[in-house]
Amino acid sequence: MDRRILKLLYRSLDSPLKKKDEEWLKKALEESEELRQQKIELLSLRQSVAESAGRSFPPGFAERVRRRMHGSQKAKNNLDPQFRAYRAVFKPFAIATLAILIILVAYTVSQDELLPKDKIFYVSDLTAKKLLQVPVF
Amino acid sequence: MDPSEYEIVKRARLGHEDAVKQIIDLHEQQVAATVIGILGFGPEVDDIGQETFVQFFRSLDKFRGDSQIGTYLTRIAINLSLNELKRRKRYLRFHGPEPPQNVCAYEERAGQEKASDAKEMIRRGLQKLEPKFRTVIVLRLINGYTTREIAKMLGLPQGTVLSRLARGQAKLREILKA
Repeated sequence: MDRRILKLLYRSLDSPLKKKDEEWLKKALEESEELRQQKIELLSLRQSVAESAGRSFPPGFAERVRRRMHGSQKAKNNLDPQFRAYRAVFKPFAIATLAILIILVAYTVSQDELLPKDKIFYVSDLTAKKLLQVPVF
Repeated sequence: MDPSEYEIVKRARLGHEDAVKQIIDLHEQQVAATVIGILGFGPEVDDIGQETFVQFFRSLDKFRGDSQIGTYLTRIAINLSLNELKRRKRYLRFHGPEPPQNVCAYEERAGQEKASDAKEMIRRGLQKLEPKFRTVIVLRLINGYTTREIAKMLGLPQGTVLSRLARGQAKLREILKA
């Protein structure tokens, strides 16, 4: 069967076709028994899929949702007040310290004479040789 | 958003419990259809459903009413369900298959009638589809959204939605025939 006409058949069930395509499909349906059978099967499949759907949660669903909402809110509010106070004080210090650290590292790296990049990544041959030396017992 | 929905949202924002319950009752089925359609029956379905509503109520202040509540909830449900599928995939990669879930027990608890063999076959077939095909099929055939709405919801061109729908249905037919 012509794949284009089959594609058109599928499409016709979900979206309006152009006038020309609609006429083409109509004519093809009149002429082909196989295409008509395809359409019947397709419609039946769609109906079966629609009917196969599960459409409910176990009973008491609304109550479980409400409990879950309140539960998460409660958990938020139930944090130890002392812990919350510490966290509130500590947070700005932690952020400031992190920012200072980043600035210091960036400054050190940018000042080549303080800590030259080649020194950071340099491994002397001697060290490498020592590392590779396998002690013989 | 229609005026009645707007009124309910306004009341829910002010913390009226009855409005919260009303929203849950009105949209539970739609969310259930989306989550169960994408994930299949299982114990985590209820959890994802609850989380969908919790996230909706948490973001109620940001909800501007450009879309219907149902559409907004469906979008959250899709995201959470797709995340769950990713979690399952990760779990599978590191720990092997998850222990089998007691699906029948879940269905009984959910008050669903025992699925007929045909329904069960369709559900299993749906679960075998790639998530990108499954999502559009659930949204179109189960939730009844138009392809334009689906495109907007998933951030895809309408043509892509149409083509995924067609390919998804063709694959589902193949799976069911096999």
